[in-house]
Amino acid sequence: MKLVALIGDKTNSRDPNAINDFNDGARMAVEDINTVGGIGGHPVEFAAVDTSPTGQDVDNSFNLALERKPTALLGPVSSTTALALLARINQAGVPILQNSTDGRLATDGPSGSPWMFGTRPRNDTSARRATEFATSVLGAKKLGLLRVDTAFGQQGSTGVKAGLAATPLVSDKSFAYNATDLTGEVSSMAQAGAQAVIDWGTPNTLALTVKTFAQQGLRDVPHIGPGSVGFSSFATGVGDPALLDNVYGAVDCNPQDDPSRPQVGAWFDRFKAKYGYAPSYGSAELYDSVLLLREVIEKAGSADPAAIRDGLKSLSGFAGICDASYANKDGFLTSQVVMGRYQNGVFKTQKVYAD
Amino acid sequence: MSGFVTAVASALTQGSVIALIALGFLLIYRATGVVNFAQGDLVTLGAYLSYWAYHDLELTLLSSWLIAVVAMFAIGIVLERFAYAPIRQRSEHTVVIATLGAALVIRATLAIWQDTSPKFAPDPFHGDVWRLAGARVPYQNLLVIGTTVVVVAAVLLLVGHSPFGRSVRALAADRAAASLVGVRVTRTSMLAFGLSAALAGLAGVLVAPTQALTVDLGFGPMLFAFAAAVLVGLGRIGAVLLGAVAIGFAQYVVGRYVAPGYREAYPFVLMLAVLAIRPRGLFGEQVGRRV
Repeated sequence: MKLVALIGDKTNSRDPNAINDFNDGARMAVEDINTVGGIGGHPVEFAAVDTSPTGQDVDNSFNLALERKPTALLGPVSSTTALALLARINQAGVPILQNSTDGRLATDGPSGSPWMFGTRPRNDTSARRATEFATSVLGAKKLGLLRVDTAFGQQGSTGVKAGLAATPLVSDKSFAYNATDLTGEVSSMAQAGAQAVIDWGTPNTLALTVKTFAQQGLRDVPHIGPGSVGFSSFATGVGDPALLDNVYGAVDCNPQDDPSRPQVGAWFDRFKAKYGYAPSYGSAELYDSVLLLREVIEKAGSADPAAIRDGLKSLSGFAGICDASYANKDGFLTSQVVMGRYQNGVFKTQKVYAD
Repeated sequence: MSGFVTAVASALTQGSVIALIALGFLLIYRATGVVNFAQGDLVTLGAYLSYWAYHDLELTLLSSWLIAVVAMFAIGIVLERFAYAPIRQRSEHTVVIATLGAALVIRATLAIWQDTSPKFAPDPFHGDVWRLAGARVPYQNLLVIGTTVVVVAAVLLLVGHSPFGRSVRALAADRAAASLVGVRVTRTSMLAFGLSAALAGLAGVLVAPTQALTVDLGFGPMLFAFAAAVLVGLGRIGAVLLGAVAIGFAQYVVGRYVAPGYREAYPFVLMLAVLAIRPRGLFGEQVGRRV
């Protein structure tokens, strides 16, 4: 039984945003399973292959993964990589639990595959929930939107517009993924009188806008970002916890603050003790991915690729760490969005949109 | 009004960073005839060195900046010895490829040394701003602009009134004749690389507090600096500040009011438009050839 993750660790990845959260989640699940005898009496092996979305690297990493004859693949975490691998995934016939949010990867979407299942909610769903939270919970009467000019930002924009209802979008600014000065965009939000700003950027641009919000006198305006806001590397990177006080994030789950399920807190503590840092929702999702595979293999009584695929396709009501009820919906196994806010440097859950 | 002031401040800051990098480009180009495409990664290296000196060596911020710039001067000389000197008799294309190779080596080394997760360099002004006509201009941006003005002026003085400057100008005019009349080609080349790397390092330490520090920090600014150098004509050191500020204005002032989604493309549109009218750039010299 072999699981191979198409995800690099930060010590060996060419991706400047690489972090260990994902693979450590999978490693912990594999260890937990092996401690109790593996899957069907077979021990589980785990390997990670760095994957870059550029050039020949995509093919090369996929080849390296397939050479290990995996029972199933985990990742990639980049939708660009998942999209680039689509033909190879269909041809390989190996089930893959990808960890990105691009709606085009839905089974009936333009880049869907019967072999591919997402373990994160769709990007547009998260953006829609963030917008609903801004208007209904925070009470914002005017919204601003900052977005990176990639498919991620575009899909975020679609989600925001779907969630607006009657609230006006008073300023809508896009920027390059490698933007280095967003003063003009942020000051436009202030000039337009935005009472909350949805910021669908990358971890780097989010850190930049957090600083720029403070410089431009917008610390009182709720600043709502996508899932990457929930990563501990984001908070430590920004440095000054005071800058984060009005920063919200639409994350997939919040393992460090899930009072409704004590087992999640226990898992959080165990992970932190083992790896020395707070696990993100990405850690929880990769942990859950491995347990999901065990569930469908044991239910089918077979590790045959088609049996795993069919098991994932009919998956319903699986209780994991990140989501209490994973269920397949058009190739995405979860649609949960958790809205959280930083308080004294800690990301605290504000509202859970379970479905 | 405040929006315009904000845009101008951003343009001047970006123009300043670009000017420091472009100045380095031009010094090496004038002294050796080579475009050094490792310049962007030298910016990144300078930023990481200061970050390392501040966080790991626990030096003061100013000391960490100074150490980074001095170390970059030395690294520039090493770069000249290992990536340029052994192949300087080869074609320019070979040397340019070697500088690209050096860039990749620097980037890979940084990724191994400091890993690839974003870092955040300390801001000496803790995010404080100067209020001007309703706009809020970070003091760090003012520091970038002020330092650049002083440094560009100093480099122009050096090039215009020192033996090193005379050597650079002689080499730029006619390399063969310069070496025949005793210009010390090797020493000039080493100094040009060293000074150029120090300028890149200075750009890196100045820009690092304004954004996330990643291994590709300098790549984008290098492309804009190349556009600025080409815009004014690759041979003109004195005009580089003008070219860099023009690029900054194209990006942040024009980009604020006209189709902002294309902001990153405007500097290159400007460069291509100028080249279409003046193929040697705004101040490029007309070069004749007897046939």
